Amino acid sequence: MRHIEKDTPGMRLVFWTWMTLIAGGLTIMIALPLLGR
Amino acid sequence: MPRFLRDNGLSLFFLVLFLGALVGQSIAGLANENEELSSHGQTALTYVDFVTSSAFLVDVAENWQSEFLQFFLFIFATIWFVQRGSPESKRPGDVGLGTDEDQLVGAHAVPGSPRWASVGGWRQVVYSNSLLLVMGTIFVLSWFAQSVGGVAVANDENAQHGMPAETWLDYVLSADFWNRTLQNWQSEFLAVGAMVAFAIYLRQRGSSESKPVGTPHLTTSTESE
Repeated sequence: MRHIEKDTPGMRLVFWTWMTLIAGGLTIMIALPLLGR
Repeated sequence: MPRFLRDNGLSLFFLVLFLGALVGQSIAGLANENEELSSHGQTALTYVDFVTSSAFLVDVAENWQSEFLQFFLFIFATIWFVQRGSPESKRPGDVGLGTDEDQLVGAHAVPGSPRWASVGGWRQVVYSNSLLLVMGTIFVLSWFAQSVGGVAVANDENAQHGMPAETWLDYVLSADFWNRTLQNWQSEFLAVGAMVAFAIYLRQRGSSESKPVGTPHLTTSTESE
């Protein structure tokens, strides 16, 4: 029997933690040199 | 152990390693930078100056881009190529995108399938390629970050030597950019290729990256055979 439950709050938290970390890192790494650091 | 840690240990383990290594890189990088500055009789940088400098950011970005390129290519190549005997590969004969039935999309979606797997149209196409799209986007953006950080560092050095500034395009075509890029790429391709090939004959009991220890060498994917 397949479970209908798709995920847990923990799975969503780790997914968005990694996504945010990477998006934040990319923003910093692109913006600071362009701002003349 | 709390359920959250038990359920998410693999990604949390790498999160801790990543943050630790990044902080370590920043401390060692600052010490290295300040040794050079002091040998030229210049003032030392503060920690904040260093971690916001293009010199630090370009070193981070060049490693990021190669890692995401590695996974982008690995995900792409495993659609179209197989390695007989490797648990990293599909079974010979399974090459390609698979049927809607195999992939549980459209009319073959099951209870609990992600919504975009069954809606059809552009959303189903996007979701069907979402891992490759995200990895590819991160690769392109981090490679771009390497280029803008790199041109800032190059122009700092040009200014110190009384030379004219380079444009972004000059830098992207420069030996420095391609030296930094390719030295990272070669190591990624080596490691992935070796992993695919070594896992034909070598085993790690208990690892999802390995076939079960007693699996015959000829068996490619233990799930599909």
